[in-house]
Amino acid sequence: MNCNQIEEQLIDYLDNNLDQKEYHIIAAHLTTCDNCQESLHKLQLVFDGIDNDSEELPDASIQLNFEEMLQKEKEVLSDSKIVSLRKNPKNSWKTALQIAATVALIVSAYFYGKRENNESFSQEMAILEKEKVQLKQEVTISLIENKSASKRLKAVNYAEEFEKPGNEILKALINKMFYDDHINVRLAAAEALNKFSDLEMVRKALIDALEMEQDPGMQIELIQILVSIQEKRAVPSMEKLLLNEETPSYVKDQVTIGLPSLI
Amino acid sequence: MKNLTDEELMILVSNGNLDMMSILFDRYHIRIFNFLLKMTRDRDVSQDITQEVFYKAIKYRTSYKKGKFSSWIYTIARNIFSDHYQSQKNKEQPLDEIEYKIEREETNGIEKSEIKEQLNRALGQLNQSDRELVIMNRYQGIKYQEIAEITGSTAGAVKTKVHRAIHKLKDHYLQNT
Amino acid sequence: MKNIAIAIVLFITIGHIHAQGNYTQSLQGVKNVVIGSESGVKIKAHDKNELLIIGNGRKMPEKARGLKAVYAGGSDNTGFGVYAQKEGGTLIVRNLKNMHSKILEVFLPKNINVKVERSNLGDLVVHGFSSEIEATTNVGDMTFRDVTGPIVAKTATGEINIIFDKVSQISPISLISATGTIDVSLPSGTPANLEMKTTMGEIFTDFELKLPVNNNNMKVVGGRRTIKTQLNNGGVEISLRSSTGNIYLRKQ
Repeated sequence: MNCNQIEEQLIDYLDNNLDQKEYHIIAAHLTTCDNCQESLHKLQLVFDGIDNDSEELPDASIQLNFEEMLQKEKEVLSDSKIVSLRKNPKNSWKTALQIAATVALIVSAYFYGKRENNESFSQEMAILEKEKVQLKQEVTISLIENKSASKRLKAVNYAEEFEKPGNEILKALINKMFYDDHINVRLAAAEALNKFSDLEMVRKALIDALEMEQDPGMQIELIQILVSIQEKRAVPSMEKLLLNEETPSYVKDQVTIGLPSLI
Repeated sequence: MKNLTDEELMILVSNGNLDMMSILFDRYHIRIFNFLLKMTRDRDVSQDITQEVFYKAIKYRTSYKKGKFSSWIYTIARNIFSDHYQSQKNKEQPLDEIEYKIEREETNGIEKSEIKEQLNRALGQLNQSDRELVIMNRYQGIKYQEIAEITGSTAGAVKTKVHRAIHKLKDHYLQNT
Repeated sequence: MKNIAIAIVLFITIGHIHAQGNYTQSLQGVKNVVIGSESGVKIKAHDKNELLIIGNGRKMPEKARGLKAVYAGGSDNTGFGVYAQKEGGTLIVRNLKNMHSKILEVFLPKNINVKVERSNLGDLVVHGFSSEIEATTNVGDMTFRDVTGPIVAKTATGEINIIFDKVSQISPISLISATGTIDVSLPSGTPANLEMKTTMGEIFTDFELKLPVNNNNMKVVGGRRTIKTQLNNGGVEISLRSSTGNIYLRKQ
């Protein structure tokens, strides 16, 4: 083989794509030919460069946008009879734009509103505002079952930001507090629920959680929350913890500190 | 569900179980994004197109006919990319600029190694088809046979073209240094 | 000249034999790795898209010649006392040896998501990942170096010790130890929404934290100490918690 033919094989040589015989021919040629050696070296350089090239990650928003698009498409699928005219599914991709538009509207509404008090305009604003909340709700719900614990935490944090979360959100949070694999997520859910503890449904769930929970860290958190919301119905579970030999002493301490203010 | 192959998942999607698409999204969106990013060097455009790819995949889910899922999704990605490229062309902007933003500043503070930048520059000097082949084969590790499926060619032809493109890349790269 | 060629071929062959001391598997198409081990685990990033398990000169007893080791936990499909199997986009790695065996040392690409499940007594060491890491241990300590998060980690009695290279803003970081110390170093410019909480321990830091001066909420509860603040105008959520251990937050 001449150098040209050899050079054509160098990529396969580096990729280990040659059979034994070809491989040895090239290997032997390389020891004698500086030019081909040089070529090989340069190729290796390029390949090393490529192999060291790391993937870049897209912005986190891409995931959210996807989840949201999926939700919309599912809705389209489930009520496909009315859809065709009203809904333009392509809109679902325009979340970012929508939010930007909302912001722009808020800003312009500010200046606009200064000059004249336009009622229909603020109504429009209210609708947009509502849509935004709904959107966030959807994102939260779809993210809260993510297989990544960190993503689930993110969803819990989102949920905590709602002024008045819907039942669906509350149920999802309660579910996380009871059953999530990671105590990190259970704790965050309990904390988030603490914010909504004026609701009976949430109080009930917090009491149940203390009854079931095995992890000491989580027990402490629940005791603290239940004491701070003055939930007397939790007293029996706390007394049970005191009596249980397996309860760690630092959990018992927490009960002893809290219990008097409940009785 | 996570144990299912791409193809099984996509069949479920095409039967109306749209949730399965999120597993496929998890598996593929970073790869598709990086493919586009290498093609365009434009994060925003690449993100937009990546989103569009999965939107189209859902929208045209019933057109999925068995076959390798990865080939199918790359085919979609290529189509949208070339649509995008076409529509840009019609706006009569200088082509080179849209095609490849070589000198784009990295604003996110991650310092890129020089080799990587030089390679990117060399990559930008290839024509679009060569660049695509190098990206798919060397950066993304897609086999000749699968590239052939995606581009509608044969494995042998793809291999020859990829090798030629790599040699061109190498020459550009060394000229730049 | 011929001699040189032979020498090269020989050299390559020897290289191959040497490489057999370790186990490798390609990670093409794999995004997540789940690792389970009773003994300690050390996970490091490398530049190849493959799983590498260090053999550590594992010697079979002389009498075991011609026999295969079998384990209660599953089949040893790597020959290193480890079960490794791809399931969709996930690679399952299970250390079949018991908790008193040597630590399991594996190398993975730096951008792969890693989940370590219930490593019991053993310590966990993680080096150099820019991906998401989830880990739970019981008694074992956790040490993370040159990582970016997101990290979700929980240990019952172990310490958690982390040095962040930079902090990924993608999704939250949460570290919990029931009774152990938590020691975290962050680059000083890290934007974050920080929450630190310890029930019985103390919190130490060299960051200048802006604390809300007067909280109108007068319901102070015994022993409850939470610090909630923003670093560099706020960013990703970072939550550090220990029930009885101290928390150390350092600038680096």
